[in-house]
Amino acid sequence: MMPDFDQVGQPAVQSIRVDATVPAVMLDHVTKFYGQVIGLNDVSIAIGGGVTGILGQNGAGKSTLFKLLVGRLKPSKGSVRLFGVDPWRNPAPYSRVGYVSEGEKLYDWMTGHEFVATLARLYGFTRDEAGARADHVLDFVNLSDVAHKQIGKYSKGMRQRVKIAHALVNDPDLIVLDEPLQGCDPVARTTIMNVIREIGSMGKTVIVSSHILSEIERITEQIVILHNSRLLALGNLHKIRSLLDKHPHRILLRTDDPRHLAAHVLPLEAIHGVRFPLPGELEIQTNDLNSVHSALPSLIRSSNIRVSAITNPDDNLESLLAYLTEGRS
Amino acid sequence: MTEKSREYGDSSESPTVTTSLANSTVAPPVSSQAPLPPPRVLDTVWTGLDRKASAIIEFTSRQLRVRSSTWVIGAVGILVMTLLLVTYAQEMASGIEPIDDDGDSEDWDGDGYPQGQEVQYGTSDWDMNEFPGSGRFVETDWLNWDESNVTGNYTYNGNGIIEEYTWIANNSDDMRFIDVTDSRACSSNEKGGYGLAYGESCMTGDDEIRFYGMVTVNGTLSSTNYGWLAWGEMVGKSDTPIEPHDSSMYIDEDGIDLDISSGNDSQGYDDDGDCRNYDDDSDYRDDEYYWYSNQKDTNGNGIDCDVELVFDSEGNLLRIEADWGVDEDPSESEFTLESAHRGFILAVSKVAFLFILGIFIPMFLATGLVRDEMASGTMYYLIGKPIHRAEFFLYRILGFMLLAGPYILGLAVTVGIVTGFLGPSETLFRFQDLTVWLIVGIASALVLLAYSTTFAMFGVLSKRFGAYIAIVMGLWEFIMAFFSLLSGGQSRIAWLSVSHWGIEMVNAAALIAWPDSEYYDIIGEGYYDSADIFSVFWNAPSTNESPTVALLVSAGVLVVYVLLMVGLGQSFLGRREID
Repeated sequence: MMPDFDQVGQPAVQSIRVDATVPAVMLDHVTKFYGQVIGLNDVSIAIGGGVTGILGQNGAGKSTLFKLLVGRLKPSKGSVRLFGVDPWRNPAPYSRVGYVSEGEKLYDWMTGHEFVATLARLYGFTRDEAGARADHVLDFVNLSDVAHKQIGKYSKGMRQRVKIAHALVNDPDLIVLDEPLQGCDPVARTTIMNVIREIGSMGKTVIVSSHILSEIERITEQIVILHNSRLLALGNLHKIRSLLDKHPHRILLRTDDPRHLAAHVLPLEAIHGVRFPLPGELEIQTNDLNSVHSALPSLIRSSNIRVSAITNPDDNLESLLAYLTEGRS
Repeated sequence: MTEKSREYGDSSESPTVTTSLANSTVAPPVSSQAPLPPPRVLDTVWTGLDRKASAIIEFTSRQLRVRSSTWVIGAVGILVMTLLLVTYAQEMASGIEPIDDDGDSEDWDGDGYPQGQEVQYGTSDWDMNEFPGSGRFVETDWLNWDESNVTGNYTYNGNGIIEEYTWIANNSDDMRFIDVTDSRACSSNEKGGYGLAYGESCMTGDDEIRFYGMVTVNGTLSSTNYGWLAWGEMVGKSDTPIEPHDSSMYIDEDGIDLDISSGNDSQGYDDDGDCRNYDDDSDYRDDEYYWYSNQKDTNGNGIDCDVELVFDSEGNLLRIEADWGVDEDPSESEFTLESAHRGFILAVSKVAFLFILGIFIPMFLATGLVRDEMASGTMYYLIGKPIHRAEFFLYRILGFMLLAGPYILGLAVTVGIVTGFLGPSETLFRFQDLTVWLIVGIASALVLLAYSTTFAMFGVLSKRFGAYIAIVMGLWEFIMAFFSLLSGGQSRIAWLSVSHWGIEMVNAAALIAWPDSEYYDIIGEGYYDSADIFSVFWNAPSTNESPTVALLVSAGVLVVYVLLMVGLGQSFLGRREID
């Protein structure tokens, strides 16, 4: 057979067949050691279909999990399967996978289009088709107008999006995104989150990691929480959040007259205490966050006291982890 | 799921559905796009590999091209080659200055006659008073220590006393003879035989003449205990002056008359006659001839005035031993220019192409082929694809070769064309050199491949120390290259280096393109000592006496080495975790 000099080729079928009965990702008692340090401890999980958020603080094992998934690392114990195949030994499943690592390094000397098209050819696409696909996915992530600009001149958000575009170019069934929102400005975050949601809505399996609860909440309800290298919890985020909401919660209001506002809100049954941590601040303590939040707007309106901000200091990953690990360690 | 983890809510997974982005109507931009054709992943195994390979090869080549270090190294290589070519062109344009190898164009005694002419006339080049036409003293006998005096009509030469005489010749125009008109009294020293210059005399006071030099006299003469006095006759004296020859007549006057391929062990011809015409019966007039019992057969092979070729038991020429004065002053313009041209090609091939470019380009550019991707965290873009790591390693090397190969070959072609036109030749272009350049190009490419795979493998082996290991290996190769050069390829330890096999290929190439290489080598060593550049840079292939076999063996060793290094690099990369 002669080399395909013209790079036009003939239409062909995919080499790996999609089998709906096999989960996209399966980890079976996977442990990973870095010398004496443990990166992932006895994790078993199966993921397939929709967007799944991997939540965990820095060092929880998210990146280790992803590197194991895409065959960058070899598990010390247990087994990892991508579409039923060990990715460490066999790169074949990569034809169905798109992966964006957390690293920021890119080939700054390439244009976005060159970057995506060149890497597309590694899936076996012809030069022409790789170019067409690159155009398409760059359009999908709203980078068409800068597609032929050098990546070195891209903003942080553009760089993340071009990485996502490269991960989508093979039309993968599984997309693994390691901290895709890290370091992005609010506009870029919103754009990337929209892109992820759209991919998820296509029925792809998307695994996205973050250490910020609100980010994941805006993307998906399906979460996996890693803590101290272990799988801490998995399931529906709203269910977990509702459990959290039943526990003592703080609501912080910034106002000119905290004491008078306190007098207005204290009659609410759900509130069991108030504090004035700083001048101009009122902290409400409650076990029923939802009902307080429902009642607060009318109470503030009726009090005629100006409130400049309302925040939930406990509505973050740390609080969630504190709740989930209560009495465990 | 682990025991400690908890499950919350409905965690049922949505069905796994493969939906092409092209068919999606979720994202507004997508809907504006024309649908993509069905995915073409792999037409065949081959075309799939071909596309991946060409993608990585092109990518690697482009990646190297945008690095400033690549351009710096490339520019340095071109600069070095340009300087070498300029030097070569100057040498070729100015030609080779003829050298008087045997020194017979010199006039050692300052009498105006070159030594070569004095040799022809049998006069001494150590005595300014003896020159062609002046005549020379031929000795009959000399006064032994136990003899008190000698009587007769002779020409006497030495340190003596004329006790009495009946006739004495007046040769005052010849500075070697005493001036009989000078009758000054001897000083006390001169009476004892001290202090007189050659050709001087004085009266002792007893009507005796003390002299040092020559005198033609009929009388009785004695010597002193420490003096030496010989007698004989003057021969070869010309009544008409003989004109001195131009010294250039004695430069390049005795060309090399050998035909090594004939296999005869006695060859050579004394073109200028300084061996053939030598008179064995003459006195030892020249110090240079003094030490040999037979002046015409100084190589002792029983044949006068020849060149003996010494072969080993297998018929290989070991050395050339010429009789004194035979083929001793060959023409530089005929031999040395050709030798210098060939020597330049070999020197550039071995030192510039194999050692310097062959080692340094891969050291700077290939060590990081995989290592840099691992270190910078970009590795996963390339290997997180349906491509085996072993393939990736190979394609990276090929990508490097796509850039470095044409560069080296381009330089080789350029140097080949320039030397082909400027080199000594009866035709416009030296086509016979093309074989050498072709093989040098192949050898350079193989050596580049060998070093690049080795250094890239080191980079995979250790991200931290890979570059240092590469430097140590480079030093080893450099040292082994010189071992191989200096030992004539015989150093077995040098066989453990890539550079040796590259050198062996070039040596074989030279022997294939220039079958008389051995002749030039031995001529260079035999007639021009170590100053000959060809002899320094060429050695007969040490692997096999057949240059074709030696070439194939050397190339085979390098190919096997490359395959081994590729295998090792692939193996290390396959086991390497990309953190």
